[in-house]
Amino acid sequence: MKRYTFFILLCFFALGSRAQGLQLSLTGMVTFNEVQINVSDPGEDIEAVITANSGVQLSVESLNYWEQKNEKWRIYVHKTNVEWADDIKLEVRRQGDGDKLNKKGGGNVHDGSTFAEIKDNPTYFFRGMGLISNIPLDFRINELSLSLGANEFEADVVFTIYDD
Amino acid sequence: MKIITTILATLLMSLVLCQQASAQLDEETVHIGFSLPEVALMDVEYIGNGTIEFELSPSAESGGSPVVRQLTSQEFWINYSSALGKFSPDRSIVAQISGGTLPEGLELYIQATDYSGNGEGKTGASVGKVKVGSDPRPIITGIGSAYTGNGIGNGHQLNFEIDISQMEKVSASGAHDFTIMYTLTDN
Repeated sequence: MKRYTFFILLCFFALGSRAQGLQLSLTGMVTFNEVQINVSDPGEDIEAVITANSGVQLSVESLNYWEQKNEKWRIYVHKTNVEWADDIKLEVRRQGDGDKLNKKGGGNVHDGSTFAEIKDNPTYFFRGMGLISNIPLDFRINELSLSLGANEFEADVVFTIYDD
Repeated sequence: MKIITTILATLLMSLVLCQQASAQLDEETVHIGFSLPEVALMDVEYIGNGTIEFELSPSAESGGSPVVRQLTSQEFWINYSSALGKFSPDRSIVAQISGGTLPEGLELYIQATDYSGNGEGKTGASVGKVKVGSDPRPIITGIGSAYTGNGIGNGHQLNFEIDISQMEKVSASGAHDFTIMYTLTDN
């Protein structure tokens, strides 16, 4: 019986430690400027790149500010395709540093400020330290072509935070 | 003793689990969606005024049949941009005489070349030499999602020919103008 009690405690301890870790939150939604998808002259292709006219803000949060205000972390990104074409590249970049929680100035973040392709497997995006809110993210779609055909394309972009 | 061992083992496993739990902390998802619309655009590119002139002249030798000569040599190229839905059938380009009439006893033929140019995708194929009248006749078929490139040298070049079909109906009736219309159609 005592042994079971220990294992139960172990589970709570493990779950508890996970719950107290850094958390991600995303606000906003991504919409693309589909006005850019047009053909200027018969025989031409559509513009290969369309940019998002709104993006999302990513925040690194915690329920335990004092323990994690200086914790280093890394963000990875990947996509899961609902309806997609291999030729289309979905790209993301960090447009700013966000805001430090309870401190003045921008967040302590590095990398990810140029567009990089979001692949089907998690790839490193950017890193930072402490709790930072409203890091602006910008999306664009690259290598579009009429030869892909008319279709609705959808994917879910997954951001994952890891201890650094 | 057993209890102490169990406690130590539990703590050790907890530490290991804590390490693993802290590796990946959290994840969030955002949905991305956009649509590529259907596109069907076509035009004819040419150098000059877009007119071809033919002349029907008598044979050089008595008793010979009249000769049809093309007086102007201009290049005409069909360019198109096409994006089809997933289950849509291929498109065609049809030609027809839409204005004026061909003089009696003569026939007009159009032949589109196979595709060449800077485009990409499923471009169409030439049907070959096609007799063109007032009803639309396909000259290029099998156009999927593709673009030909824009301007002379891209797409399908058009060649024109007028043949005498019924000599007895041919008469010296002056100049005749007629217009050819091309349509990019869904089937």
